[in-house]
Amino acid sequence: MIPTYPTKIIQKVNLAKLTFPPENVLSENYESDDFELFSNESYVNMQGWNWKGYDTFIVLRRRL
Amino acid sequence: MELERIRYVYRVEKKIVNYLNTNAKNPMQFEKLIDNLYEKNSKHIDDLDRLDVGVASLVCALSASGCAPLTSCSGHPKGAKGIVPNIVFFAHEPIAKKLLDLAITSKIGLENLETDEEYNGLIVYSNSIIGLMDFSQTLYNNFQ
Repeated sequence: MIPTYPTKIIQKVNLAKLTFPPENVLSENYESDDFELFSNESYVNMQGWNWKGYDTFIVLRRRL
Repeated sequence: MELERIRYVYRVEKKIVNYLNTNAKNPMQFEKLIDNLYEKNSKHIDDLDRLDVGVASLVCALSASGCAPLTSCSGHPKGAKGIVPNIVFFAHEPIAKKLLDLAITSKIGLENLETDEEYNGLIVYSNSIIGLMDFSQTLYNNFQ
């Protein structure tokens, strides 16, 4: 049995509001053949999750 | 990421979901069986880059499409305030526009998610992981 979740499907995007974090920080400490450092900005603060105790988030992105 | 990787992850994911669908009698059991796979460090889970079962192939497809996935969750049947299967990601405008067109035809949820004051992203979601897995193949077919 695969769970289903009652939810209202919204398909609406305000393109003007989209932003893309700059790929501004590269560090060989985190990079590998498969992954590159995407950002070390602390922009992960969403959905009411409690991120207290963390100063910085390292976001790795798989190399294309 | 190579596009073929998406196909591979999808196949592995599908195999796991078929197993869960056969063996779980209810949503709670479904989640428990998934937890067991992660606790046992199943090779199949490693093949999904340890992403959640049900969102892994779409995370890969979004990444291969030029987006930057940030967080993902395969959903929780109870507690956690009813989180539906979703992926939060960043996308440039041209890709976002194309994704919106595809989401509409695929009946997948897609909307803005303001992540903080500086960067704003998108959230894609569905009422079932099957919807997200199928959407990964839609992206594969449209971006290859």
